Amino acid sequence: MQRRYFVRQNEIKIEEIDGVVAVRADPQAHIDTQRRLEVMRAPLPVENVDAAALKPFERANWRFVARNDVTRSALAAHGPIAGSDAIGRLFRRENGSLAVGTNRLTVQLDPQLSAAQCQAAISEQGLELVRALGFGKNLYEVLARTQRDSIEASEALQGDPRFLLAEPVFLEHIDQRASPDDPRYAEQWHLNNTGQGGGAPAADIRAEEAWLVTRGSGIRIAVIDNGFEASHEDLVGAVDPMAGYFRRTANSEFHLGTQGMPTGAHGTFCAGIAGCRQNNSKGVSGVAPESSLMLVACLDDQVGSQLTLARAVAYCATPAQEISGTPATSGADLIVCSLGPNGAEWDLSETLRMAIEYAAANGRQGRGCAIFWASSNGRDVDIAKDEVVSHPDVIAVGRSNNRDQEDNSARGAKLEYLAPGVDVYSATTGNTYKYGTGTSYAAPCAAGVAALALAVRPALNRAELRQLMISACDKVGTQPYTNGRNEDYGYGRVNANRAVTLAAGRSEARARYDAVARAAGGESSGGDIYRHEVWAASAQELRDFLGQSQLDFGCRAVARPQDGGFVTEVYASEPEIGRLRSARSAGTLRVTRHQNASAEGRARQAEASRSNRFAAREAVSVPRGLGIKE
Amino acid sequence: MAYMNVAEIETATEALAGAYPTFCQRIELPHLSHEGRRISALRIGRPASLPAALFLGGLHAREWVPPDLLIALGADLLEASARHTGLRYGGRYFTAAEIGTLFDRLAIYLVPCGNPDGRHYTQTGNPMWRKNRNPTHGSGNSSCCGVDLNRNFPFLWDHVAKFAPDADVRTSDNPCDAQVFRGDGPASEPETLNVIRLLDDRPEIRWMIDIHSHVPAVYHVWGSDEPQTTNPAMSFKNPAFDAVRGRKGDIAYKEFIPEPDLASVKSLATTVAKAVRDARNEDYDVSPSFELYPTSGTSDDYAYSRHITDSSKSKVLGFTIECGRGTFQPTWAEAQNIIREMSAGLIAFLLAAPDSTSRTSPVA
Repeated sequence: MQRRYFVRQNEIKIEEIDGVVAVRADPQAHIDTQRRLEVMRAPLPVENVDAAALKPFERANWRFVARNDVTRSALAAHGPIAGSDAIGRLFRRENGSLAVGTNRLTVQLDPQLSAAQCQAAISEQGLELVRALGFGKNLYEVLARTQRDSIEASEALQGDPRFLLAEPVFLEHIDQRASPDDPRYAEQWHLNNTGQGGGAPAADIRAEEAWLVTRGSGIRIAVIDNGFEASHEDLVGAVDPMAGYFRRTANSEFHLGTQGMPTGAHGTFCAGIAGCRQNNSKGVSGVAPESSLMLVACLDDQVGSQLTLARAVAYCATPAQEISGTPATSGADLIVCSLGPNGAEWDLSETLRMAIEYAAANGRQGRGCAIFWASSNGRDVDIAKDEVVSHPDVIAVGRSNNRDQEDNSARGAKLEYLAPGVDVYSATTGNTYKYGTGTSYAAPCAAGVAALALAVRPALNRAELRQLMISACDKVGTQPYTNGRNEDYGYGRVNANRAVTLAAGRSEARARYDAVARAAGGESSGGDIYRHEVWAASAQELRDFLGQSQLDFGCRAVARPQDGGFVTEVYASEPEIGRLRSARSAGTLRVTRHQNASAEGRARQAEASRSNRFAAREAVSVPRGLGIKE
Repeated sequence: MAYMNVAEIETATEALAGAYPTFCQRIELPHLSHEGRRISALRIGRPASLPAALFLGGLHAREWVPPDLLIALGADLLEASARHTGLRYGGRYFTAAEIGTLFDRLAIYLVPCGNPDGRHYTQTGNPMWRKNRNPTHGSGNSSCCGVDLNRNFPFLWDHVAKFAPDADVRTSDNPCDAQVFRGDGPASEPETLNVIRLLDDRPEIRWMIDIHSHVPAVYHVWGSDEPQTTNPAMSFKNPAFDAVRGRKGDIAYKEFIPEPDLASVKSLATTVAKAVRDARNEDYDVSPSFELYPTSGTSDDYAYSRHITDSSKSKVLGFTIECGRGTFQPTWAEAQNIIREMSAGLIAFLLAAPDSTSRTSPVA
């Protein structure tokens, strides 16, 4: 349907796409409500809607559903339908671009009018004032209340000389840069698998959706490797000031900075997977393209001691280990290392063990560094042969291919999960790019995903982050998962979008709790609800008293005989009990109030934030019941 | 010691599955809670095809004892059967042979905490919160947040349409009812769907006990109206009775249950109460769930209604236990006493369940 509106007397034509309604799915909504939205999807008329133009809307959670009674009445009321948080008509402009209509307008009134006259004119026209906009005289943001939408309102205001401007607000694709401009991005199937190179579409880590929320800004990823081309065009902007290297001398002194840093294709590739810059018109994109990369080079000829490796791990967590006086805040949030023999035994030296445990416990100022390590390459190698990745504080990452299958990496109980690591595309030495295969490249990919989750919720501790990453995995492959995992895939393949969503959901929940606690002045806000025993002379009388009250009877309303009458439990505030008393017309009603346990007492009984008694590092790790075993 | 927090409950399920890999499997239920928490079940028993009992805990947030109870019960049964010992709870002793026989005849599913968002909120915010944390109609401490999961099951869910106007069903269609809001639709909640899915996926489940607190009492079906065993047409399936259902003490409507099933649920409920008395000399009432008021959309009635609604589903005898007395959140010392008495009651139930069904009614 052709519609029109006016901007400063200029008529603008716009086409309303009939038969569909745009709704923005609320990612916090119940999963089945979200599924219902998927079911309601309406086909779009292909002749005037370009699928590519729709994609950014889809990414921003807009869905196009059929017009029916529900959506029509929601449109009329300018209110969302269940499972969504916004609704509007879909329009196609004359230039072919798509826009979602709203009931919002920008209006400008005659400069001769006073503010009061403006507001009167606004309300006369059935508009609701949202705010005055300070960047123009008598300029206001308003909502159309009586009109169908802002377009109809704009048309109506054309006849009112007091209004000089009535421009409808549209939601349009103002490039969110979700699809990066990096020229070789199309080859990075692990970030957006469109089926290129024979892959399975969507067999990727769901990076683009995650980037709508975060690109990892504020998170420092330490990459430990033999060497890096720190001056690489796509990495140079990512290098963290704490980057440095261990010199190839007898005492392996640490050098801060990238001047003289050994170079190496392997490390460059790993660092690129985690954090190559995005939208810089160069090369590729990292998984967390706004994170900061703490490049730490050691063992540059691949022969060296675990002592140096241990020092590197400890340095990443607490730089003061090598450069005294460095504040703890300069340490890495995550550590990833892709060094180690392939398909062979690797014994963990006591020194490296201590360094790993030190970083896991003390990194991030006590919240703990998550340590990602590439598992060994090689078909059906037993991961347990590698004592380093088998350490409980190390997250062992295997590799998956572009069809979401496991591919020639070590298997076993200690495998955490898989990340793409077969024919993935990243940076290499000589300011160039290449394809590469190896668990080495899966580990920084998983670390990048963790960086995105941490960027959303920096308060996560190591154990929470680890659990969140596991929960976020896609259960790919055809093998069954028992207790959430199997020997070849671990917990599945990492998923950045879900990791970010889980992190965001939890932080929002936390914010709500904090708000409740604040409103109650630090005391639990439920303190005003008490347990009462309500007594009446007979069960019938009791029932009559309580009959129409909206009161809480505990779990089941049960009348117990007591003192010649009947008593039941009621959980209520004092005003509610007052209403109950005043509603009574005859008979005797006795109410006994019980005291609540103190807030401190409750806190002692349920330490919701204490450490987890059943986590593997605690003394009590397997729960026991109270029966006497005899 | 203290009550478990929600992270601990989840880790406890992992720890048990890890410590007893052949006898205990952790099952991640398909729906995350509104706040994104994973809800898990445990299967305890031999890796064989056996009938099973399902125990639910924590659907109501503020009832703190049942989740700790179910973890403790699972841990005891696993440890006793692994070490071939008996189990003693106060005055009630189960021999090692009884524990062994128990697992020869059935398996157990536990959902220790079906509403982790709610439990977390009671431990960090409002201790008297009952519902889940569905944010559709409100958030924070607004009473409009959340749904009463034990009114959300698809059994006579629409209490306004399905009960007599004066039946005074303890259910509300007002989202801002802080206690018994039934939800925007039957089984609208992920926590409810998890229970339904477990029953769908595990047809060997023949008994279900939803463990709440506090009364104390053991309830069996029905909660919609008094049970009767003579008129099969007088049933929740029959809309002709929608105008009269749920009145107490009348004869216009009572809910049908075949006599053998009623005998079976009564006998099993009495078994629980007797074992509790033996363990700790506490008296639990035994009665149909329909006591002072009718209920709609509850888990116990839903479980038993499944095979009546759809004959391809197996028959699940439904129970609700309200454990403990006087408070939802007793001191930990008293909570431990309740855990002991209920462990005895539930193990006695498991020992009696296979006989009770085979004697009184053939398994469908």
